[in-house]
Amino acid sequence: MTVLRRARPALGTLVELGIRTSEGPRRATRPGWGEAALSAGWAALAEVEGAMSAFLPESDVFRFNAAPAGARLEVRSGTAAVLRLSRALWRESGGLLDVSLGTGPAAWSLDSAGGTPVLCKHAAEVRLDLGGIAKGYAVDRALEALAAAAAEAAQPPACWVNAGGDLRTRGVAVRVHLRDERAGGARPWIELREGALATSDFGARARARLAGEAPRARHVSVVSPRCCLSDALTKVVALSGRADHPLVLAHRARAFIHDPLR
Amino acid sequence: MWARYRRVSFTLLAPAAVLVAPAPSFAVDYLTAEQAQADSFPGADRFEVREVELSPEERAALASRLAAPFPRSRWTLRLAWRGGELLGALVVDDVVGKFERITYSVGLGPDGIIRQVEILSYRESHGQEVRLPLWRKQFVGKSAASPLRIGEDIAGISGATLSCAHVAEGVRRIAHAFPELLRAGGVTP
Repeated sequence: MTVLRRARPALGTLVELGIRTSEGPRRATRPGWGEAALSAGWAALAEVEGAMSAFLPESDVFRFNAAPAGARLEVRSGTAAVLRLSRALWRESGGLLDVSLGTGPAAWSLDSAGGTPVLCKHAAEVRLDLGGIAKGYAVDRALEALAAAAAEAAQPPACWVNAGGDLRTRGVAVRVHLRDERAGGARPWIELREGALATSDFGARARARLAGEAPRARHVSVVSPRCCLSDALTKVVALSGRADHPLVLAHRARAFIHDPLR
Repeated sequence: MWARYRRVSFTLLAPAAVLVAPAPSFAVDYLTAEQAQADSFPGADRFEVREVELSPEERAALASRLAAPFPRSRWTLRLAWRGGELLGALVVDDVVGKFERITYSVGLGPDGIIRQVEILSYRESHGQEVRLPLWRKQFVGKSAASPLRIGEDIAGISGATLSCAHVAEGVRRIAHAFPELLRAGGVTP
């Protein structure tokens, strides 16, 4: 088995891309396709970050946050996809998952009627922060780019993407070590063969943020078919304190609470 | 005869190595400095390694410009040449976080513009040995192993607070210091 594996700082964390470039009988493929696949993966990540980072002035999210009430902004299709999922999960979770972090979950809407999606701002104070979903979405897009490159090279897709713990794999079993957020180190935990895993920590000094309410679970992982879903569901599980939250079950996900709060 | 000596020295060395080098609980090697320079400067036909040293005065000036400490004085510049033209240089550095040690490279053009940042290796550790000289020493000069590996099993880490802030600070340090590093290396772009 030959594996290409690279890591770079991206999405505010360290991102690892991996792809298996050969297996079994040697196939006739273009040399260097693995490197080209990695380049496509980095490009997919950069595209999502450029569209959804709250800190980049060209991003859809930055433009929305800076815009006045009543603004209608054309947004990229990826941003629209994340916003649609956010809206659906907000409804399904009874408002637990809120990408406006409490500034006005009903004060934004997406108008996709005219082809190019348009994001509407209904109140001056509403701010969006897609951090809770967009990282997972970026992982999904990077994985799709890797898998597409593999398919083009007539290889079975065997690749993975790990963005600081938001991890998705296809065709490769990844042994996942769970990082101990307080004492350091990492312990072997599960093996992920197919699908997506996201881990979030909502402790006092954690980077992840939740709207308003205090979490009922601190350290949470969710396995599901897509990383954007896993990423979003960690918040639902942390806020509800329930690994068996109906939303988790509805999305064929599985949640793990590593460190329940009382 | 030689084979026997080898076996003897192996059995003597192995336990000692275990004693002085506590194993990191999680580690990945991605690239060697040589691979990173080839990746960052695919057009280069020659690489030249120059060891450079910044004076305390230069470091103090950099620290005040950065408004942050600039502790490192000795650096390795890996100059990328195509014929007589300088394409840029690769600088390798490492940063120590609370529980992790990350070796990374920055490829810069002669204009000082960053072309590529790559992680060369990642070490995650229990507790404070990250900061111990012995623990750190075991990685000196070996950002090791080919990324093309046979029969490797793949392990990933899942955490939540893993930040690239230290790497970002390091990259910023190197970008600011680059003109001084080139000058110290006797290179005029």
